[in-house]
Amino acid sequence: MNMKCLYFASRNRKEIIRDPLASIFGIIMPIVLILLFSLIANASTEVPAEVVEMFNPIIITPGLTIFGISFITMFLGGLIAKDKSSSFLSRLFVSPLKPKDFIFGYIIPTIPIAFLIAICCTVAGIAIGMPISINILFVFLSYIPYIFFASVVGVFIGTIANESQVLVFGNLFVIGGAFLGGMWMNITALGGTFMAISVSLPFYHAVEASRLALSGEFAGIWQHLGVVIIYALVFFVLTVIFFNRKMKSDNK
Amino acid sequence: MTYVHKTIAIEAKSLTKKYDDLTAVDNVSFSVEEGELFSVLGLNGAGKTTIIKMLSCLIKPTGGDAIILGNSILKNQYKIKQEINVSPQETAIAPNLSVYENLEMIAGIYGFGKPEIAEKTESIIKRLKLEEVKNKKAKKLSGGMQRRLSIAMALVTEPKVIYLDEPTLGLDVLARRELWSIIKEMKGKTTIVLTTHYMEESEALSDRIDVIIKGKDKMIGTVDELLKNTNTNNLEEAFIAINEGEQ
Repeated sequence: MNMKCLYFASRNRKEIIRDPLASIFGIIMPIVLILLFSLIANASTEVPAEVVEMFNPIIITPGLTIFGISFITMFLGGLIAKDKSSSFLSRLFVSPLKPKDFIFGYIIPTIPIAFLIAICCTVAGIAIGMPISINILFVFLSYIPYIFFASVVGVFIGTIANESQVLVFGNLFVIGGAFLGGMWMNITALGGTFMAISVSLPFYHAVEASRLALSGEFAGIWQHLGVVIIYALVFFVLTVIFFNRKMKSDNK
Repeated sequence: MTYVHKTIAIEAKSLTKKYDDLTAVDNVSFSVEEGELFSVLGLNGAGKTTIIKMLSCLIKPTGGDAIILGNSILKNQYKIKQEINVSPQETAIAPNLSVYENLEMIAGIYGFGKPEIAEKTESIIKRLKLEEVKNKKAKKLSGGMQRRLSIAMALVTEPKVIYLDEPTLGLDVLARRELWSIIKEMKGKTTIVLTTHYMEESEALSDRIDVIIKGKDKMIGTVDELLKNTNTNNLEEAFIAINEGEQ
């Protein structure tokens, strides 16, 4: 990684963290949901056992962390689309930055932001009763492929879409991913077509891997992470192709 | 009298750009000496920005070539990119970064080391009188100050060649005059290619002018040469005469 790329990455980090919407959606919203679900589960002694189990901190904390990380796709896609529409990207295309510098320059800053989201959600989870253990460290490691996946999809969407289209694709990614991935509740028991769709997408696997890591059930993690990694790599290749094409199409 | 030989910084050779049926730039040729301010003067849609985009390696010509500081825009794009910079027609700044951070970032992506970045950033802030707003976020600056920042971002890397694409477009008269004095100050030190559709701007700033009409260069010369060749008294009349000659 060269310094040129890191200077560009630093700019992108500042642009994202200084956008108040990033804090509201990426950090505050998942924390509020964690606390809200905990309130529902503990509202009274008459709450059915299955609801209490559904909103168990071990279930909702990793799921809602993944939900928060999903917003990275929206932030990044929005930033790139804005850079394109404001001629800022054209100015940078005149600079000596190469396509790989652009792609990694957009992806790198999402790593600390994603871990900040994870730390905040974990603290909220601990506050509602999630046990503190060494497994939390493994949960953090299990987030890495999804962070990469969400970032790459963000760059991909930002490359192919304009600002308003990014909003549509970003919302589809965040909300669709939340439902199909069971980020807000455990969907393993649902079965049927819904489950068939869920298991064919990376969201469910990212959530399951983190839940298994938190429970210390490490044996099944890799098959879930494998799916996320495959999706991340496929989107990475697509992003490289489309970003290069974008640079070349501007070059026509 | 001794003849001072100046090195050619830019040589455009039959530059052509076609988009399907539309020929945006048609066989344009000129050369610009080191330290010269060369204007490309034309109406909106004449092909000025397309010329700048080709010279800054942003788009490829469909015909011809240009040699920038000894390098071909077709073959040595990355070598050229290290030596040039551009101030695009639209103000292109990072809105959530301060003035200082915008300049620091541009110097960083051109590969300068930390001490050089700090030195160049401070120097350009002083030169373009941005001290008072250096810690202000770019999005909170006035239009004139944003444009000044955009030009500062092109200058901070101390390029050998700089392209200013309609630098005063949309600015009020005072902001325009302030930018003119900044541009005048750059003359002789940096090779400047400036596009404009303002006659008075071209007249006030340029060493030589290339009049572009419908993608073709119609006449190149100093203001005096253009007036003499068209038998007119001012640049506007000369431009109209050249335009009428075309029709």
